[in-house]
Amino acid sequence: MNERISGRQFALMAAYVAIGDSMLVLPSIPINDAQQNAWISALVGLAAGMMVVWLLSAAGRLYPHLTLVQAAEQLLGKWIGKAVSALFVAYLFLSIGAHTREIGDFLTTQMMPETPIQAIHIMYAGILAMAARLGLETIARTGEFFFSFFIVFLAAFILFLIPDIKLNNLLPVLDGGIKPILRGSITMTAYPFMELAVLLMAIPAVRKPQAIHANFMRGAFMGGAVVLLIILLSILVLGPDYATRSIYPSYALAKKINVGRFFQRLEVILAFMWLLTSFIKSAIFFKVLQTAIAQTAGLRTEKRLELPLGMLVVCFSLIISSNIIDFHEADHYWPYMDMTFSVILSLVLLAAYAIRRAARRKGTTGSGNKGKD
Amino acid sequence: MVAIAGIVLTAVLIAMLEVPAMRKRRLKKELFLFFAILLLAAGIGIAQSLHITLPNPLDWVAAVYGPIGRLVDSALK
Repeated sequence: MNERISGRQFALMAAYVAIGDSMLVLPSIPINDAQQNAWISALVGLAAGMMVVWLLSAAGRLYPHLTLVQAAEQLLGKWIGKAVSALFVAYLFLSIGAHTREIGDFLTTQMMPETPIQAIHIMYAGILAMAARLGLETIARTGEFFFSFFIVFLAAFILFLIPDIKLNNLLPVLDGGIKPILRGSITMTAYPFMELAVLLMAIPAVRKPQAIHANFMRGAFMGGAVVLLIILLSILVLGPDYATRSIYPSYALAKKINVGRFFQRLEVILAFMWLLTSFIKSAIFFKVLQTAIAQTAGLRTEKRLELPLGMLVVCFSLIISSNIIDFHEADHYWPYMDMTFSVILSLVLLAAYAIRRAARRKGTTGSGNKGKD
Repeated sequence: MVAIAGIVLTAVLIAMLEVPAMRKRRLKKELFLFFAILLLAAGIGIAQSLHITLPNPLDWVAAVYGPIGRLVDSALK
């Protein structure tokens, strides 16, 4: 990878991955678990998420010039490293299929009910392939360029909703005890923060390695704060009952906007924000998938696999579930898969690094370890 | 039938777009992977348009992570 992204772009990429599809599909999950206390779940999730990001950043900085796949091979040895990388590739692929399906489900149920879902998947996979062909640098710059639009739209969205806020919706506080809140915070930690593990593949592209940690934390916090705000607004404006029953609470939220019976039907603002963040997130995933495949298989160039991969995504996003309700079952186990590839993988890498360093210190007689650096 | 024709056409088109440049650079491994993914995609697509039920990979994920999920759910009920 001879692409270069700035620290600021890296931070914004982290924000995009954290907001991503979470903006639309996440809010109903903690609200379903913790009802009006879901904003506390979101706070707990944000705190736990920042710890996850700290861990990811620590694992990423072991070898700032290597991607996750290369670092795994370096630390765990060739074959275990390759096995881990292959699992990571499968995880990335599942995630991209799921993102594509989310876009398709959303557009066909809410905005374009007569369009076949395949048409939307084909177009989406098409632009993903295009983004991957143009490279990570282009994706990062696109994200940087559009972020100001995103912020303006988000500010407008929040401003227009302020008149509809009912503080009573937050009461009673903590009525169900702590358990439902913790239950809700698991997904809130997993979807925005644990999926940031993909950015460990982008670390070698960052210009200043010493700035990675600060930018990673800052971007993730920004993204997490946006998700927290959306959840809070969903409860404040819609109330926990309506928010639970709706598949897309933030979209229902946008439909509520009505300023002086003049500003109405602004849900397209939300659709724009969601499609933007989700697209940048999937594009990063797609590019990272391509890099991961190339490095795992030891290819000479990572280019030219986009189109077959895009075609596979189109077909794959249709077989992963028979309908939208069945698809939402995944929320019961998906967070644990995210956990495996972020928390557990980082811990394994850090442990392997510590063991290797201890072994090297004890005596450089060469205990059979492959030489590093 | 139209769907199958479309899938085959797309696959051929993708191959025609990419393969010549890859062959010129003698990227053997890349070509192998390229065709493997393309054939897999076309195979899944054709099976889908024939309404053949395919195994769902999310079921495998559910089999691995489902028990952990249920354990946590019951602990936090």
